[in-house]
Formats: sequence, structure tokens, C-alpha cells
Amino acid sequence: MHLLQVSQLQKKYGNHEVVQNVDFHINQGECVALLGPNGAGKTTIIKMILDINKLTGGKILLNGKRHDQMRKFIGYLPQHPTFYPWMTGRELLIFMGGLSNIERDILEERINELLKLVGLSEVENQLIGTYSGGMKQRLGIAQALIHQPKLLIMDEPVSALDPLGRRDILELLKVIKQKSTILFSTHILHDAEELCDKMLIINKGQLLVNGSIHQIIEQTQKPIFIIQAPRLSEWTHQLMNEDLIESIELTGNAAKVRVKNIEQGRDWLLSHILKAQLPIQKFELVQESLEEIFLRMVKSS
Amino acid sequence: MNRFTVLLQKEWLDAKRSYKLLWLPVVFMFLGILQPLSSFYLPDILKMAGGLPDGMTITLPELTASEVLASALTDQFDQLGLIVIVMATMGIIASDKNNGMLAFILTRNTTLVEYLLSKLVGHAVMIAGSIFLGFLTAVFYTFYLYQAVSVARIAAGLGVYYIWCLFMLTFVIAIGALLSRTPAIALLSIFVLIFLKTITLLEGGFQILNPAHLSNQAVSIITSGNVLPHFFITMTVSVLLIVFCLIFATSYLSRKELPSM
Repeated sequence: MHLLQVSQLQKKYGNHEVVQNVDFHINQGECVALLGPNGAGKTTIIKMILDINKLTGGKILLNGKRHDQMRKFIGYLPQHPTFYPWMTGRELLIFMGGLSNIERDILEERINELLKLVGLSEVENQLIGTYSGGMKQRLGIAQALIHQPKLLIMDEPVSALDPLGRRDILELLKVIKQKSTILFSTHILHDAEELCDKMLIINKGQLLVNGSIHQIIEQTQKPIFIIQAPRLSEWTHQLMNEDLIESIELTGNAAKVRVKNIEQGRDWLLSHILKAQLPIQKFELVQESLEEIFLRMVKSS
Repeated sequence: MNRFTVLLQKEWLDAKRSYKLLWLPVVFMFLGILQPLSSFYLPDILKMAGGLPDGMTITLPELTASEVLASALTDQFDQLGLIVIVMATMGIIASDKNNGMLAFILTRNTTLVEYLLSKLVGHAVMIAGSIFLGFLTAVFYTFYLYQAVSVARIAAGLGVYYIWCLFMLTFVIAIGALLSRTPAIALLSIFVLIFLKTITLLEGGFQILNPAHLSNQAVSIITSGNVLPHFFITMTVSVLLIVFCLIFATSYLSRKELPSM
């Protein structure tokens, strides 16, 4: 049995489909990134798993049971954790722990451990209103872990932080990852790559790719020709409408050309360069990076 | 410890940190002092303000102690007091709803009923304390400046009056569940509650269905020791309306997709 099983998930607002037939599952111990550009539907999917937003179609099972009966199963870090500014960090943890029915003496002990883990022990008695963004995020992680959930769900845990804060949280998540199952959303590929072994790439409410990073690279990687020459734009303009060409990206005096068939494409490109007497400085065949795969998929969907 | 207690403790802490626990009773104590003092010293105040023009005389009614106490309810608590209660409670649902805290709390296996009951009980206790202290000061000054009134009548009258206050509270909670903007919640609540209060001045059988009529019942109990006709019908209707407001708030919020952070 999967820890989380999402099948045919669908969300409509009126006629607008925000999430369309999304299927995926997460096993115990996995760390999964939900990756996609802003507005792709990541937060909506997360909120449906948490039963904050209602499904318009499909099913979500946690350990084989309907998700709305399994709330205590999940620890949740919202995208903008504001909490109550008039509470201290410790008071918030006591409050959230109390809502999860944790006995008082066990709770105290666990709060001490968690404050140490997230590095807030020294400011535990300060009001949350005085915390910085990074500190609120840490407190958010602590409250999400307080009832020892089977699944930790985080919505953009590092997106709003400065580079230092981001690094801190990523390092913290690496520690937490060893013990917990994690699902987190991000629009930054780099974070997903650094932390997770599995990725779900979504755009416009559709799941484009689902698998481990290795699988994604192996199965979807495409070769690209990189051509470097002065005054390229005129030449590339002529190529736009050719059947063989899939896409052309021009940056400065280099063009990234994707073709439908490598052998034919190479010969065709070379002969065309000769014909146009293009003074090329570079002609290279490379494999796409993960980022290029991600961008291509998001653009073409 | 169950979740309701945890939520109630949070309400208490919030009231302490926001000083609501301090200012709400203080405002009612001020209103309580105002009535006996102004009734008693009105002739002197008029004199000091320059007196009346020559030849003009007005006769101020001789107020009894129980009438002074009754008017503390109808002239102070029912007007400024009503507005203060609405102001103190207009944001209690809306703020949690708007900033996503409500949706967030509900991800913790908490139910809306537990949440709303904690809001209701927390503020009902605060309002009870404020009205009690406010009326206590009114009673103290009335006893001092006028004469003693039966304590049993005062207690009974205040008890009946409190049901009307509970209706105000649950009404604001229901409007707070329905609307999001606090100024709109305050305006609509004050408008409806003042309207209910104003029509109690009219004669007519429909009064017995009006929770604001309980304020008249309270006055009658304090001044004469007797209730007006159809007391129990008004009481029952008010309690049913309170329950209805709570059920409305619960079912409306559970059907709605709440904003989240």
C-alpha cells in the first residue's frame, strides 16, 4: 500500500480546470518535489490533500483511507506561515500540539527537541510578530512535526527566503528527510534537485512527468545543437518554418536548435550553414540539462 | 486535555494580550457609573451651566433607585454598550478566516463546532464579566446616592438581560462567518441590533418574538419585580435564535472554501 495515493484528481472553478486528472503516489520514506511554474496548480493539489480545498473529482487515499479522515497523519507547513503574532514561539507549539491531543508532559519534551532541531531555542519566548521570515518558516516546520506525522507536506518552504535563509532551511530539511516522508512544492528546479529523489513536474494543472531524477533525464532528455556565429538572427529566421526543426532559441550570438531527428538534422543544418556561408565559430551537439528539460516541458505544454 | 479547552485557552490568551480583558469591563463600568451620577447631579449640572432662562421652569421627574438602575440598562448598556459589544466581537471570526488561521487550525482534526464554541464561550464569559462589573458599579452608586434595591430582583433582571447580550454575540458571530470585511460586519450588526432595540418602543404583539424585548423584561423585573406577559415565549424564541445563529455559522463555514495562507 502506498502512503499517499492520488488518483484522477480534478479541481474546477466554474469552467476553469485548475487541476486535471492528476495521478501519483508516494511511498514511505520518499522525498518528492512538486515542481512547476507559478500558477501551475501546485498549491491547489496540496490544499486538496489537506482537505482545505474540496475535490471536484478523483480520490486521495492516505494509507488506504480517505484523506478527510486522516488529517492527523499529515504535518503541514503553509506557504506564508503567519500564525498569531501575539503568541510566543513556544506558545504556538503548545497550542498546535494541544490541538493534536498530545499529553502535556510528552508535549513539553517534544517541543524542547524540536526547538533545538530548528534552532529557535533562544527565541522561544519572544512574540512571533518579532520573528523574521526565516524564523517563521522554522517555527512552521517545528509545528508541522509536533505530532510526528507520517507525511510532511510543505508549500514552497524556501521560495520566499533570502539565499542564506534558503540554505539554512534546505540543510534542515536534509536532516528531517532522513526520518520522514516529504512532499514539497517549489518553482525552483535547483531546490527540487538538491533535496529530492523523485519529481512531479506539473504545468497548467496537468502532470507532465513523474519519476526519479535519473529516470526523467534518461527518458526525456533530448540532444540540442549549439551553433555560434555572428549575425545569427537573420539565418535562424529562415529556419523557423522548416519541418525538421522543433525549436530554436537565440541568446546573443548562440542558437540552441532542437531537431526531430538527429542524423538528418545534423546533415541538414551543416549543409544549410554552408549554403548560407555562415561564419560559424562553434557547432556542437550536447545533451539537455535537467533545467532545459523542465523549461522545454513547461513551455510546450 | 481536549481540543476545546486548548482553543478556549488560546481565546483567553488573545484577550489578555490584546487588553480586551481590561478595556471591555472598564468601558461597562464607566457606563454603569454614568447613569446614577448624571441622574442625581443633573439639576446641579444645569445650574452650573448657567441655569435656565428666567421664567422657564422644568420639573425633573423624581427617579426611584430602581428606575435609575433600569435606565442604566436601557439608556447606557443598550446603546453605547451594544456598540461596544459589537466592536469587541466584530473581528473574532473574520480575522482568523481572512488570514488563513481558521483553515490552518482545521487541518489539525479540529472541528468547526469546537472552534465556534470556543469563540462563543470565551466571549460570553468576557461579556458576562463586563456586564456584571458594569452593573455592580451602577448598583453601588445607586445605593449610595439613592437607596437600596432588592438584590434578588437586580440579579434576575441582569440574568434575563444577559440572554439578549448572548443573542448580540451569536448574531455578530453569524455575520462574521458570512462576511469578510470587519467594517461591513460592524455596520450590519449594529444596524440590525439597534433596529431590533428601537422597535421595542412600539406597541404590538410581535414584540414577544423580539430578543431585544428581553431588555424590557429586565427593566420590568428590576422596577416591579414582575415579568411582562409572554416572558417565556420571548425567552424561548431568543434561545432558539441563538442556536440558529450558531448552526448557520457552522454550516455556512463548512460549505465554504476558506481562504488559507
